[in-house]
Amino acid sequence: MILLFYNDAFYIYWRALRGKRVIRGKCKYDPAWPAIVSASIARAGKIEAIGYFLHHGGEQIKKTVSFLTPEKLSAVAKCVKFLPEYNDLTCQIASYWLKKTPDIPHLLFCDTAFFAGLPYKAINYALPYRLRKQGIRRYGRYGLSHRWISKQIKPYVDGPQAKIISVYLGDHTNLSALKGETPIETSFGFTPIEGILSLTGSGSIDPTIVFYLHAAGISFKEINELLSQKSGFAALLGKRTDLQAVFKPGKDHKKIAAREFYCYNVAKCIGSFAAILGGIDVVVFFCEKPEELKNAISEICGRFAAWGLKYRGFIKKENNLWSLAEKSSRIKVYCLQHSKWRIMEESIIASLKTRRAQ
Amino acid sequence: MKSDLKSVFGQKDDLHILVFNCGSSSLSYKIFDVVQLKQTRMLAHGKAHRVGVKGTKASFITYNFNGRTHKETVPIRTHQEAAELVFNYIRKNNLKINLVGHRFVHGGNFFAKSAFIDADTLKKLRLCLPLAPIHNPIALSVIYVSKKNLPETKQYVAFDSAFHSTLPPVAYTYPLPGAIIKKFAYRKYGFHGLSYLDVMQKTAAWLKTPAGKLKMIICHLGTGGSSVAAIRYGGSVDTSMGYSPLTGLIMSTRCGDIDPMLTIYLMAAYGYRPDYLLEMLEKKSGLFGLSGFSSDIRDIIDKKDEKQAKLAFDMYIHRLKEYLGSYLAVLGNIDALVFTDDIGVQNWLVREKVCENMAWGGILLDKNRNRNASSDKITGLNAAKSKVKILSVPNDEEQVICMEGLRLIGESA
Repeated sequence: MILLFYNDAFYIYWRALRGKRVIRGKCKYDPAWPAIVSASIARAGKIEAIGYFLHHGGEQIKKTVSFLTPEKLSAVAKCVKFLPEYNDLTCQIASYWLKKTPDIPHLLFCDTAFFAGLPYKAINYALPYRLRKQGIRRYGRYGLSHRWISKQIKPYVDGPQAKIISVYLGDHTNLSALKGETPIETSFGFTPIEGILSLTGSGSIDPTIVFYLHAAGISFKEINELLSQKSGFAALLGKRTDLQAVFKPGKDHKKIAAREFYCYNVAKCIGSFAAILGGIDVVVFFCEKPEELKNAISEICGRFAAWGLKYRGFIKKENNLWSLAEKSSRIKVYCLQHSKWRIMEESIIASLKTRRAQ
Repeated sequence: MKSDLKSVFGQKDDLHILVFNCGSSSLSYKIFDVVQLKQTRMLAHGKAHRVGVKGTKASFITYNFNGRTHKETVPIRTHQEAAELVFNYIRKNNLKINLVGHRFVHGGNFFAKSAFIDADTLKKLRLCLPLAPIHNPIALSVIYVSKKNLPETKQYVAFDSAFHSTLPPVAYTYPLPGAIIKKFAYRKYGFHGLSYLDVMQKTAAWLKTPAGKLKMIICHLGTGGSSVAAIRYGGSVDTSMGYSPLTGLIMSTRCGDIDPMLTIYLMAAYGYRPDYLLEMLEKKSGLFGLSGFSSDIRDIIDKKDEKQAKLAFDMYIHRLKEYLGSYLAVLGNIDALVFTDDIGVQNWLVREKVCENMAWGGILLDKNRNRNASSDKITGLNAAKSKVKILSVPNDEEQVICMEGLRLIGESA
């Protein structure tokens, strides 16, 4: 049985996989979590390997998938300062299982590592250089997914110089620019707030607003919450919802305005990446439920008609990959169904195979 | 018409308008002789350079009058000092001034158009100071110096945010909670409007096509602030600056776009004081923060072999290209890509790098024409087969401000 962990600041999620059988679990973080997890997987058999999802690898962790040892865990602990609420919990989970099952392989999936090697000009902020030395830089996220996309799309693109833009549509929409399999830009910044708006996150806004809000007597904690929990689609619509619901056809004028705002900003980001790539060969969309975001994809693609993108729609599917553009389209468009659990599972199985072969 | 104008002031002699234009590190001035309502003649002009700049080269001011050019190298620490030098020169040459116009960057919600300066206007201008903490205070300080030197002369202000009043909601919206937006009126305003208006009109005239039929991207690259605007059929549809002039491109000392959460992180985790941090983002970041030695892109290009200077230059171009690409996506395709303001018209290397690898967007530069382009007249820079016209267009914000003054006189007469 393979055990996978994913956590946010408050909850622990896990999957126990044995052949086609899957046990899904979720619990709120409290000291009793090991007992809850153990009980849930008690009948799933012997644990063969465990995978952990690390949201932020700071500057220490530069490999997306790596074997975790107790020594390596201390490096992970050093990244905690960048995202303490999340990373701290991931470290606790890993630490517990490393002690409990020291003899099996433990794998760490680091979500920022794929972007660790971005060009300097893409990593840096135009701030005094001493801040860069303190780790203030753009990190990106969803590296595990964009890396997976770069491998999935490889058979469909033209070599290591192919100009690819991978677009994740979802609760935390983000884009990356790829030359072949090498990332050269991400829309996320130091945090995932930078870039496109999310369900409750503001996206890029004028940072001076933070100072004005503070001067008006609002505390940093409240501003933090305001930008990350109360903005984005939640602010535009006046209520919390998910991206699929926003794009469900309907005439709610707030939703129409929100869709337009979203597509406008995704299109702008695609445009900006095109400029640094020197054009676009391929755009790859990926999301959990492609069929429910057809409207978003067609709306975004429609904005590039003048660039020679001929959108056809969800007609042709090969394996798990939709081909969305006409044959004569100057820009090829694909869409993949994506699940971070499946990516973790696939790569843990691959890693175990390689290990066994060695 | 000439006599009508003059009757407003009871002048028998010529009507002279002095226009001040504060950049963050410069002060331009022009004196116009008004011949007719829509016809002016520049009588004298000049510019104080490197005002308060932390760099390796000295500050200086130029005076051009009666065909003579005069350059004075003198320490100029503030815009007030620069304005005093201008008034000294005016007195020395016995120039009469009947009206003084000022550029004011951010009029917030108080000013939708230009206004004469009276006690009420001054009060509102003071309320606008924090909206553009670099520009507004220096413009106001020059207004005070002008009032001191010419206490009897009427003055007015023209605003930089007006041109972007055509921005659509997708471009100006910040997706923050409704109550916050309602209370503080946060939105993208955009700046450099006087320059964009001027350059758009000049581009249209040069292309012999009405602005209402053109799509263009204008890069206003200044020695202090810089921005880009996407212009569709005569109106601004998006621009890189935001609620304040801090965001967008990397500027001389301003950081441009950063992760908004970073500011909270630096204050909460690193203990930066808000006023100190904001000052750092505005005055110690950008090219100066990256290079560590100069806020002037020309100094940075001179030392491009040094690691930090190279990084500063590469990032400056990288950010500008990203905006160019995103506005190409907004407009679909464009008729013209226009470079303006000091760096835009003078720096061939910046233009060459920005246009590099842009053939896919129909942008093809003629490298020779670009290198040899004159900085004081409109020049076409594109290769013959380029779909997009690439232009270098010197701007004249002062001319636009002068026209605003004449409009105000007309309205009040």
